[in-house]
Amino acid sequence: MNYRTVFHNLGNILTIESLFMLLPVLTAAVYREKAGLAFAVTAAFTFAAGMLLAHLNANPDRLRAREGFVIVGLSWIVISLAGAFPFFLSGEIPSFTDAFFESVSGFTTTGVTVVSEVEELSRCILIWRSLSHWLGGMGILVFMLAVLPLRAGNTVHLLRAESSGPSVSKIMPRIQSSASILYLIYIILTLTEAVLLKLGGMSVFDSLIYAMSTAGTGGFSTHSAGVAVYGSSYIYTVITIFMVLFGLNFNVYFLLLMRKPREIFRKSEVRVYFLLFFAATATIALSVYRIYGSAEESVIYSAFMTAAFMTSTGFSVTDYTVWPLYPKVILTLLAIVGACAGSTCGSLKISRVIILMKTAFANLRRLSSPRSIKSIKMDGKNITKETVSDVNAFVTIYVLILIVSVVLLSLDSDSITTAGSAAVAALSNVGIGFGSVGTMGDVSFFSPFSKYVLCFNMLAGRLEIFPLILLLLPATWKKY
Amino acid sequence: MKIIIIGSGKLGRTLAEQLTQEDHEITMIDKNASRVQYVVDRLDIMGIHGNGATVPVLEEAGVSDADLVIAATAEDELNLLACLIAKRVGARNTIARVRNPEYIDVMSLVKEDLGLSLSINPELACALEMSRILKFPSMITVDTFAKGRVEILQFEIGKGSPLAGMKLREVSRFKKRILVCAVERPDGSVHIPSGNFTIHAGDKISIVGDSSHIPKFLSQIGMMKNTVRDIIIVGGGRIGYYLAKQLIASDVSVRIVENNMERCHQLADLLPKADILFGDGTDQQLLIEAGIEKADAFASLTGLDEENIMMSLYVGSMSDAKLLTKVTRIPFTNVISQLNVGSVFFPVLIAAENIIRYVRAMQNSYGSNVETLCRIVDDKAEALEFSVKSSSPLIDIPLADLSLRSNILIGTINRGGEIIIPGGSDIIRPGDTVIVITTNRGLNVLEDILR
Repeated sequence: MNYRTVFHNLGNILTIESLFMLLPVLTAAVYREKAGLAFAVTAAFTFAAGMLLAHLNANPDRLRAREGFVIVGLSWIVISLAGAFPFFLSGEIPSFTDAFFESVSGFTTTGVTVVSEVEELSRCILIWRSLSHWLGGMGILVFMLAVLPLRAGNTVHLLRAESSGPSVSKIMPRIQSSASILYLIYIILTLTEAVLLKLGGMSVFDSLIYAMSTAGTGGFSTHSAGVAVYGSSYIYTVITIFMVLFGLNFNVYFLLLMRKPREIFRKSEVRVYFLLFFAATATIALSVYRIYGSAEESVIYSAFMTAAFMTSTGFSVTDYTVWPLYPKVILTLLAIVGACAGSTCGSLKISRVIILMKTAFANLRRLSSPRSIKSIKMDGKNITKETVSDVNAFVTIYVLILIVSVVLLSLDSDSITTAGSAAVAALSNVGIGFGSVGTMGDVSFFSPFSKYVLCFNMLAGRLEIFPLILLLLPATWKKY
Repeated sequence: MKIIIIGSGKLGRTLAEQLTQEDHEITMIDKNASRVQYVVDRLDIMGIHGNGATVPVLEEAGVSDADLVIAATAEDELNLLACLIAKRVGARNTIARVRNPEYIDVMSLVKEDLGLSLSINPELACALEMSRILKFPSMITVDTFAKGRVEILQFEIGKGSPLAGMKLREVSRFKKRILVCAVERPDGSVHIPSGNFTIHAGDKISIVGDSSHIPKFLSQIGMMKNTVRDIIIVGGGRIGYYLAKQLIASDVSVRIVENNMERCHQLADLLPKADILFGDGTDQQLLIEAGIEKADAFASLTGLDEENIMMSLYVGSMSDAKLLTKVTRIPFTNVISQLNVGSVFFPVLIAAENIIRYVRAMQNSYGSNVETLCRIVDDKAEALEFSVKSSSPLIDIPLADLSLRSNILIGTINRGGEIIIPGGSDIIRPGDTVIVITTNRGLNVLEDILR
């Protein structure tokens, strides 16, 4: 372990985070809110700590896979800690556990909350919650790679450890240009959504909040009733479309930029993604038709909720907890499968599920004809043995964490629905669920212990488990 | 620039490493997935697994807007095919590694047809480098221009040199067409000298001139005293063959020790003037019988780095012969350079250097008309070759009447193969190529030399 590299990068990350805290400070200045002081103080301390850490460990020399994982794992814990202080110092979330929980939920783009009355929060707090979604969605380390030229070691390990999906590759030869293009696409999409929401009658402030929350596929909103307060099918539709767009692999937009639109639908993941989305929407709409009695409403609501669960955004537009069992089961399954790799979403990712299915069927074929040899392909390329075993390991540990956290949460829950739903909501970064978790993902009723379990789940879900697990292994911390 | 490298062997990796350091965007293609992974994990480049001579793979690598494709796989034919296809689907320039000696003559025939910008033969490049070192024993560096007709040499002025203490305008009394074009003082400062400049012992001077006149000039100033007259080469591989051929052409007597009987016969066929000895070069008795104690030079060029180093150490301990040692593996450069093994040659690094020099020239010639660019004097000065267009404002004006910027010198004018070392009354004509030496950076067109 090269501590110099690790601390240098942690310092840079903290410095970047402190600069982002200036947005809530600005918001507080505009709306004349006292909570802005908490942000100013935190930003100042974070900036000082970041600069100090980076300069004390200047000229890092090595960045291998191991350092990459450790930097990613540690920096997500550290940015969540720093991000928790404004909540705590402003007194709007009085317990530090709750403040940390809220911050983790923000950065991991989960959107579960400990605040029952969101309307009572200051606007600067609201914008910080959504900004943390936005940053956490694409990844703060990816942002660092885009803005800071790092020459020491290969920073591809950082990109790989922070981005989602079974095999992460750069879209451009240079890491800095790859990261910049990703953020450029991200910013353009976010602004487009904000403008469209503003046109639908939202205030500028709300449209920014919802755009950033959708972009990171987070789920924090400005009202305890969620998007439903607007009562506008235009706004529901815009948010649905953008949830689906942010659930796509960002390489898709890169292909659009490269003017190769035809290749987009050649990707099996994209096809399966849309197939799942439309199939789920259609069947759910049929099954909830009796409740709403109007085709338009049932389609809009079911499309919205399908997108919200599938892309792990976790907005809610209607009280889906009163829906029949079939939609609930489908939504939970979609939450576990998730959307495309390389998007801002959580969960297993469709490409992993495709790989799992293909290997499973290949194994079945081998049972019936042991001598037949067939290679497993995806998008015309062989899936390597390493990828298959990575996916197997990932899914195994994923399920293991899910089971253990359900057991731990059952100590503290009123029903298996609540325990299971909370665990899935946190681990898949969806942030809403069934039972007591409900349509707003309000988990303020849990004990601090359960909240820490959920924090672990959220971080493990966002970082795709390994960076976090590796922090716990002694072998990671060996000197060399 | 966007550069695609096909093949992630030693040459491919070295190129990728050095070219990323010069801020180029590199995409590497290799048939072997784990080797691609290895490179991508270590360098900031993109890796693609596949056959670089197929269109889908090349397109995935973005060949249509690539500035350069370098084919450096182990197979010559694959490299040529990859370059041909890459050119067809839109690559601007291509470089192929072609190492089979049988293709050397073919290359000049097909280079145009294949659209190749450059073909590089690492063994030949290495042998050329070795023969230069042998031809100019105390030379520091040699760069060539105008298809080899012009050379720039850099060397240090010793205490006894006739040039020490001489003003530059007096150098012309050697009556040879050469020009002192840059001087590096021992304190590291670099000067583009005028006629009143005085050379001191300890200066490193660069001279430019017709390559056929340079040896005579050097012998006049006493730099060519110990010319090599005979050499023993151990290892009759490709480098050994090329080196022997070069040296035989300049009347050096060559003995080759080779431990493969079949190869001995081949060499005897190819090099009738050389003495071919069958035997193991690590056999001390054999080396003594071959006359190692009296030989002027000794080159260890077998396929085994360890043997080469051991033999050079041994010969160095018992003879005054100039030593040339070939080392294939790069990672131990720093250790080997501390040993007494004479000049060490890394064929891969030499090939990479040639390609990188081409890439630099290419980059510099973007939107300009620089034909060749060389960094000289430890990168502190540049020598640039321009071709003169008929629209140029410089033509037909005596050089003395041109108002040039400071630190700029017109080194040579090449007029249809004739090399002119210009004086104040010479003029530049359309179609000439001009070599400009300068410590300024960023010259794009010849007109930039004007004030």
